Amino acid sequence: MKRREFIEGSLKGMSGILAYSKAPYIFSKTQTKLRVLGTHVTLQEELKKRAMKDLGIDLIFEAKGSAAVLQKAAASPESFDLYEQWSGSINILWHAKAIQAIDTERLKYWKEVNPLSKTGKITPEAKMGLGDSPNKIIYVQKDGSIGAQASDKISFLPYVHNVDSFGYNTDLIPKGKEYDSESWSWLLDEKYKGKVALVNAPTIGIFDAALAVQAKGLMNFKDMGNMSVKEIDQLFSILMEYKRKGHFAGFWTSVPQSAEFMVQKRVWIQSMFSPGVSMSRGQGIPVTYASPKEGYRAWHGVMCMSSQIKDKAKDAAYEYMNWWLSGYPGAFIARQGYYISNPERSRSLMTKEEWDYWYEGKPARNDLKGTDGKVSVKAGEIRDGGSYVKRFSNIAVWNTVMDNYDYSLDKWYEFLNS
Amino acid sequence: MGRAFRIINSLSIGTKIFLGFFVIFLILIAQYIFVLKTFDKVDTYFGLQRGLSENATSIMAINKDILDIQRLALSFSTTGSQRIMNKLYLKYEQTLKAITEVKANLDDEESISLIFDMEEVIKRYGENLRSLEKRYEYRSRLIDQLLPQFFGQGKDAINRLQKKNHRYDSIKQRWLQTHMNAILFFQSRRFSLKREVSKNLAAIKETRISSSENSINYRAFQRILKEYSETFDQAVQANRIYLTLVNVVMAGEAIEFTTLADKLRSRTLERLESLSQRNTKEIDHSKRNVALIIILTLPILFFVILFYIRNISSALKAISEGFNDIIGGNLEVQIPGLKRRDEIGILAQAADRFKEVTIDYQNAKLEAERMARSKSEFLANMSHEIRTPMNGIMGMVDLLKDTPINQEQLEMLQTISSCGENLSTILNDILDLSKSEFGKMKLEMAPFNLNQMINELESLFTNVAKEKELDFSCEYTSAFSPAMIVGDVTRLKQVLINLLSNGLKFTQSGHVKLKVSGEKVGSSQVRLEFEVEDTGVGLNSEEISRIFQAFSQADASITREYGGTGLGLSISQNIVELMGSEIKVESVKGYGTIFRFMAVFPMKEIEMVKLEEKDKGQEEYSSEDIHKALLVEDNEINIKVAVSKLKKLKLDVDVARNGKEAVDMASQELYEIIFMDMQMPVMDGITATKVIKENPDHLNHQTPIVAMTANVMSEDREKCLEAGMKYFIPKPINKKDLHKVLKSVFESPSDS
Repeated sequence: MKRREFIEGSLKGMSGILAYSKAPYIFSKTQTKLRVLGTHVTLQEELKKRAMKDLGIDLIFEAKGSAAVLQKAAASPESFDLYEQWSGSINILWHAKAIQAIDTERLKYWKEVNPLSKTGKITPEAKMGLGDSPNKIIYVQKDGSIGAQASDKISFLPYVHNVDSFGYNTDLIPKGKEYDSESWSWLLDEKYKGKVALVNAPTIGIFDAALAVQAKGLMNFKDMGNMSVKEIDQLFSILMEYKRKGHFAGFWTSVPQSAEFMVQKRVWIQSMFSPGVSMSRGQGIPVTYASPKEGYRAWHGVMCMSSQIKDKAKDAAYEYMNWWLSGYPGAFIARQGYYISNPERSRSLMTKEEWDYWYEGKPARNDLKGTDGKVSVKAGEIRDGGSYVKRFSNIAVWNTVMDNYDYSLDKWYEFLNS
Repeated sequence: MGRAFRIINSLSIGTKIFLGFFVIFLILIAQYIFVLKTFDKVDTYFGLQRGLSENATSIMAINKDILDIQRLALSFSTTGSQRIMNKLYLKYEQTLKAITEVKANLDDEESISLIFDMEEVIKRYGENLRSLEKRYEYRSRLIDQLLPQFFGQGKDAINRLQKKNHRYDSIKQRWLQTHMNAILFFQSRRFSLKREVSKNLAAIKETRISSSENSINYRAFQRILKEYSETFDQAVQANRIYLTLVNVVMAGEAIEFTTLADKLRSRTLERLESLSQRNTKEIDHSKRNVALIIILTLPILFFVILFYIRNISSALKAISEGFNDIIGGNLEVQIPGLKRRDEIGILAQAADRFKEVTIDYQNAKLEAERMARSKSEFLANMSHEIRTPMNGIMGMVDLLKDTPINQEQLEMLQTISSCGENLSTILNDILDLSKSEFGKMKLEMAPFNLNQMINELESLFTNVAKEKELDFSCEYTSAFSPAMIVGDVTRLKQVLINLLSNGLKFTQSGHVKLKVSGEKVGSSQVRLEFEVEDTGVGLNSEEISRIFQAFSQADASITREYGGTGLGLSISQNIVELMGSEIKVESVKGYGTIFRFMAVFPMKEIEMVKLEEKDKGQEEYSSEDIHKALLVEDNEINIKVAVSKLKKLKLDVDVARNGKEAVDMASQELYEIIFMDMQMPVMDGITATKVIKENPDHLNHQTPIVAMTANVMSEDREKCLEAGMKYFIPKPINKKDLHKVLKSVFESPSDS
């Protein structure tokens, strides 16, 4: 059995694999240590080496599944300095008093951060995504709560973000047209009965399901980003009816697992994250990452500072945060398909062809290599969904911790066991 | 292949038969091994099937275990009981162990992959178990300890404040309400309750009761309020984290585990099914193969049998047919299998040797027959050659008789004539014998009068009998008397003459009698019995056995005493045999002998009798007219004899010395009759006749041609008639024959 590598392991479990860095250099005892708790999405070895070299600090990465990371951070803020995950963590960590506000004054590139994180819209014309758009949870309000009202204190550093949808195997399902025939309703198409999977995460999967149910015309939401108890009840009763008929083949908990579902042909269509799509393609399965006409489900990465951090470590944390927006990391993760909040600074570190493909949505003029040095994009390919702006102009909903999140947890459990 | 056949062919028959049976034995062994192998396979499949069944049972048990674990986890999440947690760990360890056991028993890739996935899932679940405890404690501390604790402290503080100011009643009310909502929220997880808590807490905080704002109690309450509020927020997150773990993560793993277990179970059942199908297929396959082997064996058996048939049976048959052919006289036959080195080869060589011996024998026989024939031909030729001068002598004697001679000379002539006739008889006997011995004698079938024949015989021997003073009679004794019968009267007469002359010759006193009796057979046939009885010397049994052999008489001294060729009985017996009968002898030495034979003859109607009678009355030919005749003859003596005889009968005779001359003369002169000899130089009589007769424009095409020849055999006659000759006169020329022909030619124009 191949050893599972939990690159992203979104809700992998309460504990994970500790990835303490094997430092290639000898550091003096006085060198500042910075403990970063997060997931494999951003806690990558290449980035760590580069940051340590650039910053001269001792980085200790602890990468775990997203749920485990969140629980550890919420319960023990003293166990980390910086926390990296996505926006779903913010409310929990903020209320658990595990993180502290970040001073925008100390962020070197704050002004370059694009409107998406600050206003929720990449351009003024863009569609406003429902739910927890980053602008609603970034600013620390005067009363100590977090909200949309701009201030010079923020709950997280906006950096990595992307849009998600569903992937489908074009050997088994005819390829659709972007923003046209491709629809979330496909997830509930009876033709694919028994060949559909969802991600096992209420803050994410519930929206894939809700988008599907709404696209199928089975129900409408007053505000999908903040469903009422009644709406949750109705949604889950529809989903449970489908599940009872054997519509769902499984619920994945990690990206490699989602790829395995595709490769084993256990599923033909399912909610997916972009690395899962790449992995499936790497194993020869022609997975198309849909650009649904109803819009994407978007997510935003958050980098938070422990409420317990102080002194030198705090300085190092700011340095590290500034490094993240300094260009190199943005260019690096662009090659993995992620976007950075101040893309222009990374542009000069990318080839024209790379920039045109990843950000402009133009056909690749030559073969493009991924961060592993292997060709990940062949000449002539076009990124699904088009350019950065086009993709983020089509956000249906953000990954969200809704008011009725607590209630939805019970319903989710019921759904899983139905 | 060919070489193998050569080698096999060189083996002995015993070895061949052994080899054939050995091949069949090998096939049976192969079949046995094959069936045994199938049994082994089927046995293996049964083993596999048993293993799979056990696995399927184990997997179902594991699936039940995970449900138990999930149930226990739920129990723990409501009670936090350490006992349940211990049980959970125990159950978890058991499940892990069961999976390891099943894993060891699996053999197909898909199932192994599934069980590894299951193991992975259960391990993650185990890791979550450890977290569960911690998260439970964390949540429990916030919700069950800190929150009630701060609530209690708040309540105490409110109570203390209340004693001084009754306006705190409403705050107390709100405080109680808040905590009740908080507890309800953690039970029902309704956001409305949580919002209510936040709202109440904010309201309490905002409530200003001026008089006590700066009191220690009030500040303490505010501090408790803050603590409570923060603890509630933390408790909400702790509850979420805890619920996420239980409701999402652990439930998800359990669901995934169940899904995988179901898959593994159906995969196992599927394999069981396919295994059972494979088993069935294997058995069917082996059934088919056994049938196939049998079917394949049949041609081999057939081949072996065919080999035996061809190689042994057919070879033997061919050799025996060869023997039959050789025995049947076909000496061209090739004996098969001569080159074989086995017993059949030896037999074939024996047959071949037999063939060679037979060929030698046949050649010797042919040589002997050829010798005999040439002897006989020599005799025939000799007699012919003798007859021609005899003809001359006899003719001259006849002519001499008509010249003026004295009595003494006449008697001398008569003696010459008598000797000549004896010599003629001997010659005729030799010819008859050679003819009869080589089957060249043929009986003619012509109507004749039986009574007339008997009368002729009587008159023929009456004088001789009288001279010897013997009582002699020839008579027909039966009441049934056929008028005319059909047969060869000449040959029949020859036999009876021979018997009668023998009887008269060997009888010194007493009688010689011919008795003929007849009996009707059917409507148109008559069986005649001829009996010649004498009272002569008689024969003993040894003599009887010799008398029918050619050139033998009862006693060598007889020839000296009685004369004769001794061929008569032999010829007679041959003739009677041709008639389909045989001459039987009864004799008592010293008392007499009876020769007896029977023969069946067809009967003829009356009118033939008339014809015969008419012929009888006109035996002599005499003519006033002179007729023009051509005689074709190469022998000068014969010419003289013939010319003188013909001239006496008023024929004007021209003579041609051979066939060529005759043809030439005949194309110059029209003749009324042509006498044609057969054997002549330049051109023989047959050829000449054909030349004249085959050309319708020939001057003498219509002229009757009479064959005159010493060749008296019947096929000679047939040749003459075929060539177009009308009459046949054997040489020496008999007056009666000549008269008969001339009468026919010149007195009955209608006949010619």
